[in-house]
Amino acid sequence: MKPTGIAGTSALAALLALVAPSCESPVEDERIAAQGPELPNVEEGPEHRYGQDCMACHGGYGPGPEFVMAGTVFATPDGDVPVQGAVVVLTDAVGQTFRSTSARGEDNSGSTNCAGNFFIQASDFEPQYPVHVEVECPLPGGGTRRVVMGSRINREGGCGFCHTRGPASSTSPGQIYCLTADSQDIYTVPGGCEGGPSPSGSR
Amino acid sequence: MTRLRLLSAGLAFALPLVLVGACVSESDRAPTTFDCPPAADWPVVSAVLEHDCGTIECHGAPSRPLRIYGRNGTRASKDSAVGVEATTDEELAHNRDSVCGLEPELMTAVAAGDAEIEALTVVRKPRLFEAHKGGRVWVEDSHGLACFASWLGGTVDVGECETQLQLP
Repeated sequence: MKPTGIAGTSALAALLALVAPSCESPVEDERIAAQGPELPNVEEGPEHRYGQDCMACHGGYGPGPEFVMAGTVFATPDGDVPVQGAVVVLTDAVGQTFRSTSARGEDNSGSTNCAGNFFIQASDFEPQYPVHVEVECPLPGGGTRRVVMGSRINREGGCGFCHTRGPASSTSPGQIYCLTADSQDIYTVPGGCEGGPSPSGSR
Repeated sequence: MTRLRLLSAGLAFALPLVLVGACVSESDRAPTTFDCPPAADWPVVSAVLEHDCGTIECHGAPSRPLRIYGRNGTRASKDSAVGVEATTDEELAHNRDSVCGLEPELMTAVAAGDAEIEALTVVRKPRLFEAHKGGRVWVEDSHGLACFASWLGGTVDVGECETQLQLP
């Protein structure tokens, strides 16, 4: 018996309804939920959620604009002070080198902003993994300190996925930083920044 | 009549047991072991796997199959930090167990020359002969693959391993 048009359409709708939920990922949902809510008075934008796992929402599954790589650079291994103006340099498996300042994305100068955040969009660069990473940290007194990541990145574009806040532990290399803990006072919290810590360091 | 019923019930109970028993042979019960190449040769091979596969977002993550511990991944002990202390002897032993215990029968066959090295999942995945979230890690002439194959063959080619470790 051949289904009528309505019955056929209903069957198709029912089938799609069954298939659609299978696109959801409880693992990714959990990853997003783990980031928690936005901080009060910080709107969604380049300065929000500093130090978090950016790609939870910006990796293509979540609600944010899609990035290929994003993260936050801090002054020291266990401090809260972000570094503004750091340049992230990527070299991928086929030898392409990309400086984050080459980024063309909207609202993105490429170097880390006042919250220490940087992000790279697919329109800027699509690396072939594995990727080697270096960070050029501007020193407040002038000059640059080059920080080289000890291992390659094999697949994860979200720095905060591995580099959780605080110092290194048995499960994380700790936050990305420019200087050792002894250098705590060299950098100061940028003023007039919506995201990042407050200048008093209380956030 | 009662005797016949009892006999039938007994048979009904015993028959499945006989059938189930028939599925378990002596060979299924026998432990399968692989004569894992000596631990003395392992550290440089482990270093290559730690470098190529064991970063913390990949097989260095505790949730991943074929877990690889080490300096760049999750540490076996809370006393060590990622990226700080060198890979420990305990971690080397865990890594060797991971690799040798993955497909012991196949690995035995490969070591004996009865199967191609590409039969192993630990090679098929990084060669991308099988879906691999981490993509193609090794091509045919990769130093890492040569290092691993030499270990399986019984004589580690340290030069190949160290060349791979020099790569970013």
